Amino acid sequence: MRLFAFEKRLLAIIADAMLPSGVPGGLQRGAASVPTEAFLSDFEKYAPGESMLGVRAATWIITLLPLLWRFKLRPFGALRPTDRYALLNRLEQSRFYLIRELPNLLKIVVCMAWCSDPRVQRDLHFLSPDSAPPQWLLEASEPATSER
Amino acid sequence: MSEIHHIDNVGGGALIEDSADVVIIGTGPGGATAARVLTEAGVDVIMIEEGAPYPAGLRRGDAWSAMKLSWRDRSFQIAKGRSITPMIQGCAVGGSTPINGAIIHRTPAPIIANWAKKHGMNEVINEAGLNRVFGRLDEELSVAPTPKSAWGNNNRLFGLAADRLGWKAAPTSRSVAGCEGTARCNQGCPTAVKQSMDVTYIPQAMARGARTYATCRAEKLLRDGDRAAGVEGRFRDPLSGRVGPLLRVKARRAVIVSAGAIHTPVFLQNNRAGRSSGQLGKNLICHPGTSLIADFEEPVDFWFGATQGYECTEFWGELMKFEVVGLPPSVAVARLPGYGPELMRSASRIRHLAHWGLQVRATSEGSVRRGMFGGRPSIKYSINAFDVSLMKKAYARLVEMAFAAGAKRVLPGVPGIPQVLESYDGIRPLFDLPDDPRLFHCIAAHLFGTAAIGTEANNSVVSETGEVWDTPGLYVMDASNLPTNMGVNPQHTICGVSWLMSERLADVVSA
Ligand SMILES: Cc1cc2nc3c(=O)[nH]c(=O)nc-3n(C[C@H](O)[C@H](O)[C@H](O)COP(=O)(O)OP(=O)(O)OC[C@H]3O[C@@H](n4cnc5c(N)ncnc54)[C@H](O)[C@@H]3O)c2cc1C
Ligand code: SF4
Repeated sequence: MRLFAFEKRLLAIIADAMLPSGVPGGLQRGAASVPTEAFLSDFEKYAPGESMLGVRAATWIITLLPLLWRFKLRPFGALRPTDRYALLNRLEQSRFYLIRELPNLLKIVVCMAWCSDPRVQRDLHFLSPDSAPPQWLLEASEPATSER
Repeated sequence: MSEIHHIDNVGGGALIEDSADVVIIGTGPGGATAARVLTEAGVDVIMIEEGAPYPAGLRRGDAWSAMKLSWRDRSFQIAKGRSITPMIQGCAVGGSTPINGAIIHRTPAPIIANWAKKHGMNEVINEAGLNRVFGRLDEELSVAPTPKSAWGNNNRLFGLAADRLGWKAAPTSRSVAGCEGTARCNQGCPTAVKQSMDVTYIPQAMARGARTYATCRAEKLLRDGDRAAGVEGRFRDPLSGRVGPLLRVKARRAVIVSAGAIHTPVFLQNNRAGRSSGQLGKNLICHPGTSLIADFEEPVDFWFGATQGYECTEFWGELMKFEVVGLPPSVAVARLPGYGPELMRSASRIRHLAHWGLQVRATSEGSVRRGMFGGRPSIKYSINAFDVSLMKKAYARLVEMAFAAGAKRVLPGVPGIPQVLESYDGIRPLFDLPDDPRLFHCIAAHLFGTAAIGTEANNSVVSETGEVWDTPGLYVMDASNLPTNMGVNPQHTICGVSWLMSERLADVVSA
């Protein structure tokens, strides 16, 4: 099962809210510094259809949920960053298992993309970061990955 | 020695044919050990494996690359029930061993005694036989306690905690020849010092003439009357799905199914074998586990040290066991609580985080049914209230260990509990929460019981020799034939049981 390009963009927005760049006191390079959409193209080729269905459902629900949430009346991507973080953190604390699991599934996918980048591995101080980026990352961002 | 045949080197013909005395489906500890024992006895063997070779040169530190190349369903195999439980397995030459933690345990004596009493396992599988074989396995698979040089802080702090609490703990015995402590066992050992089946029993069997057909899923059991007489399978590129030739292999004496606790019952169900008792695919049992993150003042650098180099068995009698788990980094970050700046700040402390896990000898049972139209199997498993209560107790003990080792904070990731605990008291509210399986993020990597051994055709799928009651010449040798879980890591038991069954089969073949 493949995501449409616009669905990948929606997910990239959620990824950026999950792991934002430039946080004071946090790591500076967030999910936006990794081409999440390219990772998703690789991921969707190989992940089981059922998991992709979960990814797609989670992306849509998180995108549309703010329309119903505390009179925000706009989709996730149009929220201010602080509202995006607040929404994700609220979902994580939900009483309902499936609601809690939605962002969690995306978090796993986003973290897999993020930690595939040897630059992030170095930011995290891994002892032996991968000597080269994975193929999908090389193809997506030649210039970015040669940067240290 | 022939090389491993796979979709990229078998050519473009429509059909490949071969024959052997014994054909083995699956190359995990069950199948590879059978190949090792049978070839030593002079039996001609063919192995068929759905996964691809996963040599050291392909192994990267990032989790997705590993999961893509060597994990069943890219790590997304799940059981559905009241909660979702990932049921993780390998899918590669070597089965789950290229990605497992290499922890080695002998089958505990009370478990063997229970098998004898309740499941009639005496003649082929017994304590004396297993102990004899464990000695050989220890030697051949370089089993030894994790050396201090490969502990790293993640393991060292765990040991310190157990010491301070006076709990029984030790460096884990692992099958590794010279561990360099890269904490990458679950992504595949980058230097291949881990003695997984792909670097030990499979090449040994091949050196004695066995042939291995990888990237080939066995689909059809060929019969001669009632008797198992061979296997047909189809080559398929595990990444692209490209379809290759049909493989047809004749088995002159026996077919052994060693496809693991999920896919062995599926193969049997698809081929209408092993159904006489109605037990096939039922009795799916496991050791569900979960983990916690502890934040220390000092750097832990969990990416240095044996992935699972220390364990605590103090409470084995209470059905629980604790281990260090050196998670792949992306999984470690995903386990941190929160999102946004909070997550980025916690991630910036990653050097200070230790990861420890627990597993319980669960009483819950699930089932495996073949998927419709050849699709993925349907796995059902719900952790029952008793097992959740065990997990709560185990979790609290793990929290106690973290603070005993000097952790400043524990990040439990359990809903209904504060996201950050600053002392042991913080975990007490866990006991006021309902015994609901959705409390914990559990996974299960030790799966058993779906084609279990027993005394009669009406209460079990296979006899003590591994032979399927209703299909002569068809054997099961893998985790699916173990009738109970054990509360310890199962690889050695699977190898031991398979070894004893294969010795018996070798006698039958040479007779
Ligand atoms: C991440 C992880 C860590 C673990 N850590 C430890 C540990 O430290 N110590 C320990 O003792 N145990 C550990 N285990 C468990 C242990 O590895 C398994 O219990 C053991 O490998 C099961 O052996 P098996 O022979 O039954 O099946 P597997 O090892 O799963 O092998 C079955 C093989 O059969 C193949 N197959 C399936 N269907 C077909 C088919 N139709 N045709 C052809 N091939 C097929 C599969 O691709 C697979 O390669 C771990 C498991 C995992 C996943
Ligand atoms: S810890 Fe590293 S070196 Fe040691 S066995 Fe595991 S992957 Fe290999």
